Amino acid sequence: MTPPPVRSRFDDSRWLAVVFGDRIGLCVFLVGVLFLALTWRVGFFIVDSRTVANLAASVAGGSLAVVDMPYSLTVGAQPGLVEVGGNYFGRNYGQVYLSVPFVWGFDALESVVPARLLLAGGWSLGVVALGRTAGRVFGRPTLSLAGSLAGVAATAIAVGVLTPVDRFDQPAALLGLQVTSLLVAAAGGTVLYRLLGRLEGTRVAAAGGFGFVLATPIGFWGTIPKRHVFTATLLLLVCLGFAHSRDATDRTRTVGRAVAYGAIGLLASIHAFEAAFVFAVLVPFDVAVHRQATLRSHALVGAVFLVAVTPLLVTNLAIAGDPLGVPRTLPDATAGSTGIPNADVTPETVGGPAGDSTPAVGADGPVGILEPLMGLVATLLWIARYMLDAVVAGLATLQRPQALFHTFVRSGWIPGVRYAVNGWEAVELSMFEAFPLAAPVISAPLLLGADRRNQWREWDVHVVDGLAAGMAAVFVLVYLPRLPLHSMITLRYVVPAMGLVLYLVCRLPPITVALSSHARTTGLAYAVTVVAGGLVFVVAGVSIDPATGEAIQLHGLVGLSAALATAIAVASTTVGGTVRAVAAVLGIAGGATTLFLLSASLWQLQYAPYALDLARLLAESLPPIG
Amino acid sequence: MRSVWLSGYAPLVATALIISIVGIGGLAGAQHAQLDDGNATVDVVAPTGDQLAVESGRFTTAADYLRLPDLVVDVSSVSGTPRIHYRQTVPELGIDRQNARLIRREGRIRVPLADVAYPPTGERPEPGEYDGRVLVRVQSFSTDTVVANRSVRIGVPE
Repeated sequence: MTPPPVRSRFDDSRWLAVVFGDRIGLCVFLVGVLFLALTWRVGFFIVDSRTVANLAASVAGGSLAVVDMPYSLTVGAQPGLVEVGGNYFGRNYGQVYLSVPFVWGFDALESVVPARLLLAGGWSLGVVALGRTAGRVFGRPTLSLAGSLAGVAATAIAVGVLTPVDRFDQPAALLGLQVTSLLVAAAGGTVLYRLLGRLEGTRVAAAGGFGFVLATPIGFWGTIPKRHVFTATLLLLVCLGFAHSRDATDRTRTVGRAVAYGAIGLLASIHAFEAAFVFAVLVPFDVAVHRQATLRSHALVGAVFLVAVTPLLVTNLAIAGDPLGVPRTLPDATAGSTGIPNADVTPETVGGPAGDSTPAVGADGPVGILEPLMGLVATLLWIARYMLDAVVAGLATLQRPQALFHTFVRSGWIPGVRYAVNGWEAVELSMFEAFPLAAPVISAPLLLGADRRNQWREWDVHVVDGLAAGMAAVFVLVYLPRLPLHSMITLRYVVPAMGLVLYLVCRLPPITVALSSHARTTGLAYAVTVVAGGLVFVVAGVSIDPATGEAIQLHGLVGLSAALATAIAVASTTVGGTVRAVAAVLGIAGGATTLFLLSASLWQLQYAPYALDLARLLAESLPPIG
Repeated sequence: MRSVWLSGYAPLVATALIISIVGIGGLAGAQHAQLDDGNATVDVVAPTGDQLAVESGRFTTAADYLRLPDLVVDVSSVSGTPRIHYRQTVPELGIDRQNARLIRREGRIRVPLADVAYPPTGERPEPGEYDGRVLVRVQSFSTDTVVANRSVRIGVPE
């Protein structure tokens, strides 16, 4: 009698399906975690991260006000700090709240196990988990065994090279912020995988999921404690929830809508204005699609949204005395200081309606229900008018061809950008240079008008595509008036839209056919680009010895070339080009971005100690360049 | 069942054991990676010239760069954990770049210095010749030996 197959108790657990969708979704998450951990440096890449880190230290200690400043002693060196009633407050409170449990965890464990050892062990366990999961996905037990051996070996190596300075000289708040950002970025890959999985085959979904961290600038910002990866993941969650809401049953429709609005509520506690824009895009789609929704469904969705925005409302009330008084609209504590200027400009500082002002926080007036109600209406009108002005300003930017060219196509030395902030190094890349996989979107109009007898299936445009395109377009438009700008590196203000762009690219018919039919070609092209391209880069780097700006621009030229090749390959399918060629250039374009991510983190931008000693070993093995 | 143990629980247990023993037992640290007492014999291989130049940036950066050459030294007779310290200064241009590398073994060590970038217009040095200094030292808690200390000339073109 044949013995029953060996089963783990996790096989029957619902947690896998609920959290990751399936084992492939778990693999996507683990690959994202492991990759980002290799690029993780425990330090500050951008100065305003110090503000968020100080805030995290204070919130973990029980105060909404910034009372602890372990990362910066002067107020002027903390862009984004606001002052209310003699107290200092920060921003991105939602991001900080998510990080606090990890801050406590690092604080508690640091006295028992050094953080460096903890992270090394965690990474090794991740390798074990990946091997085991991949082994089950492909039905190859040897993969599981290999992963296990690799994981234990990684631990042994890490322990062997661990330095006596086995504690980071940064308190736990920064570690907590960074690990939260890492996990959220990796989760974004899984969300994209699940979103694509609802509309496309497994191969397309997996390619998109893996690509989220490995082949977009998300991989650059994944461990830098800025808000952008949080926003990127939440935008995809909005789309996933909305896609889910298109299911047949009432319950799943309501759950899907609740997820979408809940994600916006969470986003609001990180950046209220960005959430407002996303809300404004979702509502018309929701109303159009769910005209028949019951009152009960609306009530449930509304309740979830209310719960999700509660952290925002409570925080605003505690700080400004006004539930709608977000910290970003409060007086800048660094104004007039001789400290570092705030490079992280956000939409609200572009300027709201001329002559108007935000309804006064804590304004005096007659006591009664009418006054607060009028105040609320005035605030909402101000917000609506601000949003309209922002979109109009963005549309006006479309008449600035030179700015658009430098923002999307080619960076180089951009006139008007304050390169002095970064030592005159030309480190600002354009969209297609940093994210060549975005290039196929410019072929979309061509594909729409193409003869449908071509070698791809009829393009089944889904309403989720419209939502994703709408959110991406609004996001880009709102920030367009500020671009190009210094300290963007990979156009970081637009990074949240890049997950949506990757989704849209993966929905283009030539892309889906290419990935479905020629996945091996894509995988091979990707692997060759990363490995062989990496070797070429190392040799070139040693012989050329580029400065930082030169190295970044070299990556930009490579990325732009890959983007051009991708766009041409996709467009050529309308006139008989092969989808195998599309599959190949997709792998090359993705590999070019991965190369940039690895090169920037392990070679060109070594600004702080590595979280993993394995990464430090890798970085030290590379020949130094100046 | 055995495969589950081999590929699942055993590595978990092994990793947890290693972490516990090493972490709690305080046995971490097979290599010294901190500056300590020590000394080393150092021969400077590069740079050998006494001229530095400001050159145009490559790959369309448009910035100009004062190229600071890497220090290349041959190290022998290493004791303890000293470090090699490399410094280039050009006082008239406000340049003071320095970098250091721990000396862990004999052989050749390269210490890079970041090139100095200048914008194509605006805040640039006036064309001409400037005096600079190259300083190479072997340092430890018990040693500070100057290996090389010489002047260089920096040429800024029109």
